[in-house]
Amino acid sequence: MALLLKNARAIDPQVGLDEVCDVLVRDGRIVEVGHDLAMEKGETVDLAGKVLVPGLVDMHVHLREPGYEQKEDIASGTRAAAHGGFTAVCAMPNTAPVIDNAVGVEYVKARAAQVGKCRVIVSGACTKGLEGEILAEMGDMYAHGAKAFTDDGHGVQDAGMMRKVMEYASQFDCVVMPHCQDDSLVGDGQVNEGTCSTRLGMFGWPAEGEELEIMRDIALCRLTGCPLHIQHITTARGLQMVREAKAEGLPVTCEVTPHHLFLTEDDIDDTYPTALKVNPPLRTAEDARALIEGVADGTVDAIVTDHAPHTDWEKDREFELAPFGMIGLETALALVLTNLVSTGVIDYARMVELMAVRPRAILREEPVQLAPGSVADLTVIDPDATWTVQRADFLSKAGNSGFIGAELTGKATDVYVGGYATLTDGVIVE
Amino acid sequence: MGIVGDISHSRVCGSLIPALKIMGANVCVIAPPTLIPANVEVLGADSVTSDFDSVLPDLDAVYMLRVQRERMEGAPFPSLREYNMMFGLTQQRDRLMKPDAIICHPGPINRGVELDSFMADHPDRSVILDQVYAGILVRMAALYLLLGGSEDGIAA
Ligand SMILES: [Zn+2]
Repeated sequence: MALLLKNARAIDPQVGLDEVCDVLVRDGRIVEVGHDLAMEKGETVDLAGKVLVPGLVDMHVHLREPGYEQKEDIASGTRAAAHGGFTAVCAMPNTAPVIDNAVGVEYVKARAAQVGKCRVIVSGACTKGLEGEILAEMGDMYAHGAKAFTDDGHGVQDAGMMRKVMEYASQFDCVVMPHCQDDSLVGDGQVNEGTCSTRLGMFGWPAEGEELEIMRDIALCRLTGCPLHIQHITTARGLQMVREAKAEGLPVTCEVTPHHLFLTEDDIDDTYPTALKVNPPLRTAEDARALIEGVADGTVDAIVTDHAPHTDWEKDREFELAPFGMIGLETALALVLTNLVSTGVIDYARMVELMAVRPRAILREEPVQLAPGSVADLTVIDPDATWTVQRADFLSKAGNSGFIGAELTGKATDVYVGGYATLTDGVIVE
Repeated sequence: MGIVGDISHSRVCGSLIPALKIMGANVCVIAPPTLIPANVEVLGADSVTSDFDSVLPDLDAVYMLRVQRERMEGAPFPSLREYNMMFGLTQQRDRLMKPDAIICHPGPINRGVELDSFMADHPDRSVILDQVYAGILVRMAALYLLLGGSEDGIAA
């Protein structure tokens, strides 16, 4: 099967490409990038006015299957991903049962192959049942294709246990990805400790509850040599620690979410909007500014959604009773384009690094480049499309977005995975 | 010579590695990172790895150490099953070994953990019972000397 994508502005910093050209795909791989390409037979798509980039990867997504299919499942979650412009997502293991053995890894892979609309990269738990007490069978999971290990949602509380996790994982070529949360400090924290918690009269979730674990895990990275990827970093000081660890030459990377970049604790008004209840919580405007600086200067490696779907009945409750998390797959690209690229904070090339190149590298996935030989995982963006975020447009089962009503510019229109269209003109290809 | 297993808690290693070095052996230590001591070079080994299969074809002798069957809370590896898969000398690993490579073990063996019975009782490869017999003779000699025996073995 041949596919000729014509006249798009093709951008890929890995090969120093940023020009209007054609891309020819055959049998799932790019065979030629150049001008005035032609082919005998196959499908030709005119992408004039569009931007073509290596397929986007969201390395932090909760697909909720198995166990919480009322919130999301692999079919709906990967459709939401394709709709948002992603060609691959990394699924978190905090399902029921937890993905803490090879059987779980194989289940997610098999479901993704059957019903998925994008590639699903599987992460496994660090400890059995996410309980922080017994090492999970990381070796067996790795042999069955798990690409990273994380106790996301909980964090490993005991420093000695975390040391064992990282030491054991260091024998594989993969990262350990901590969700940094010291339960003894965070307790029942609901929102950022400070102005917000005081104003709303709710338990605070202090920045230190995150920063102490970042500091601890960087120290353990130094001790064990295990590559460390800090999940959803939210504070200026936490980011500074990562910056210093990188300067020291430690194998430390980190990610941020659009909601921690573009929303702050000030957005949680006295309507107690549960859509803005996330973990870690929205921080101060100063923190958000520091994160954006990190995105621009290279300290932040990846932008991820931490797509965390919940049912309406779970979120439509008193703030303290509502679960943490918001969805993000279908808004992330447009939020980044609108708030960072259009404003000149970063350029398209840096966006590609943050949302495609670095996530693949961190997950030890084969690189995708706009160059001959590469797998044809591609995202096509209409940079001028203006749209309003509406619940009804989501393909996710869930609607717990903090950006409903936002006016955004830029949208994925077409997505190709291995040369096959999963999204055409904004519509999923079934 | 490869030494496989709990290097960090092994008293065997502390004397075995220096002895092997005296005999001119090249010693490779093989274990999950959680069972390798902090400064393993202090022991005198020539190389360290956690990838058993990558070095097994080069080994003339494989010295398997006993794994402690401790409780799994806080254990240095997830399960005896995974240990056996990654660091056990299983029957499947036979094809990776040199034709004349031998197998040693200080005993007692945890069958099915660090050694499959196929390997423990392998008629050509296993020298474990020879080690036991040699151990008796060495102990006899040591006790004899400590109790006043003379160097040439003839009573004073
Ligand atoms: Zn998390």
